[in-house]
Amino acid sequence: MLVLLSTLAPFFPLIAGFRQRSSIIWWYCLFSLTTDLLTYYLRQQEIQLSLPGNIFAGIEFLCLLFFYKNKVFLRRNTLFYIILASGILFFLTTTSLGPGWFTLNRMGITMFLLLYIVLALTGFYMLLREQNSRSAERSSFFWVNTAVLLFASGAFFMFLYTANIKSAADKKALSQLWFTLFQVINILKNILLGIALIQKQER
Amino acid sequence: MNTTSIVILGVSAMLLMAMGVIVFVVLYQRRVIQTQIQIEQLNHSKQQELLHASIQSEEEERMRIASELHDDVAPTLASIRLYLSTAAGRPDDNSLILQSKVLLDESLQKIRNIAHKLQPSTLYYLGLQVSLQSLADMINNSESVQASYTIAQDIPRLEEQTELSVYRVVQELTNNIIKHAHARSLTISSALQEQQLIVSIHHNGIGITQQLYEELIYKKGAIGLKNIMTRLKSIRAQICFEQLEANAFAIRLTVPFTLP
Repeated sequence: MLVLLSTLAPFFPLIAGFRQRSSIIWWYCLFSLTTDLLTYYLRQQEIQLSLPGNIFAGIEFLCLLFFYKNKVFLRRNTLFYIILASGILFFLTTTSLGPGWFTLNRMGITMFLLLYIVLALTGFYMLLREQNSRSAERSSFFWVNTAVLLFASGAFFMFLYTANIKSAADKKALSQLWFTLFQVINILKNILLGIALIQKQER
Repeated sequence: MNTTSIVILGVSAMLLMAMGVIVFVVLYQRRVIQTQIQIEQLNHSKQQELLHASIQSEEEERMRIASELHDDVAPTLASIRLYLSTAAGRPDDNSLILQSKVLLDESLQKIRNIAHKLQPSTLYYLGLQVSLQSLADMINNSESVQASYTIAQDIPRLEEQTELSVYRVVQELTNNIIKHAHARSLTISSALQEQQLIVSIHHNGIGITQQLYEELIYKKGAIGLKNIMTRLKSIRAQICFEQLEANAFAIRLTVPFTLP
């Protein structure tokens, strides 16, 4: 039930933000739904293939980085392109030289999650620096930031600790816990992104 | 501690930290909004107060003119009317006609004085320097206070609005010094410094300090001081109150100007 909920969770932001299809977050949710459905199907067919996961990690990186481009990297285009280039290069290298494209590149994803935490924190800093007279909860950017920070913080520790699962005595139970936690965080992220897409977009 | 507990604790700790950040952002933003609202309210009430002070001052000015016309000019004109009526019955008596002429001259002077207070013609035709000299002479003639005017450099003709505002502020300040500070002598002086006109008023009464001035303009009442502030603000001028010695006070006006 939880797996199904988590798989279908991106439907909420997609429906809630249907009028905001031009938003990069809406497209991110669409990619997320496609990947989740594909992964769900592969799991049902008992096919162990992490290629969709790896591709989605790259798309997620591009989507979130471009989302933060005009919010965090104000007049710092060089830094943005350095992060973009090094991120892609890092992910491609660690995937190709490491586990390969058919196994999930956990190290690459962990580094991306760390970057999302930093981006979300910087996003909050920019939000406070703006000293906007509108309350934060009415801002779409605030909700996206909240979603990214909560998701990245939770998932970061889980991906960081993945290596220990293999060597743990209760490997099966731990894997089950890992997936349960991840699905809960994924549902939470999609609810928050849905709230973000309901809010009026800032220019 | 087993691996399961570590994972649960770690994820919970990370989520708690993230939530802490979010709660902080929300609370901080709320505090900022609250402060902004308070500042807006303060500005609004200050503007209301200044508007009120300006209206009240206008009303007071009207009342002053009305009372001068009613209590001073009108009785004199009534006396002239009476003298002339009596003189009509005594064609051989010239003294009443002469007395009427004296009273008519007096009335004319009073009307001129009222007109001068409303819009000093010297300011319009001869400029600030002559008007300040004339103001000092007028105070001196009242014999209650010894007043003088000194100049370091000749003041050029400035923009009409600047000249009128400076004159009115000096007039209000000297009135206050005479009325509230009980000074025995006051000196008005002016100087020019790099596109700035400096007008100082020194007196030996019981004056106010800058701190007291700032307290007074934020309190109710003190309409004169609020008008001074509004006038100075309109010409981007500054005022500074200083206590030099026990019975020596100075007020300094710094007025930026551009020649018309």
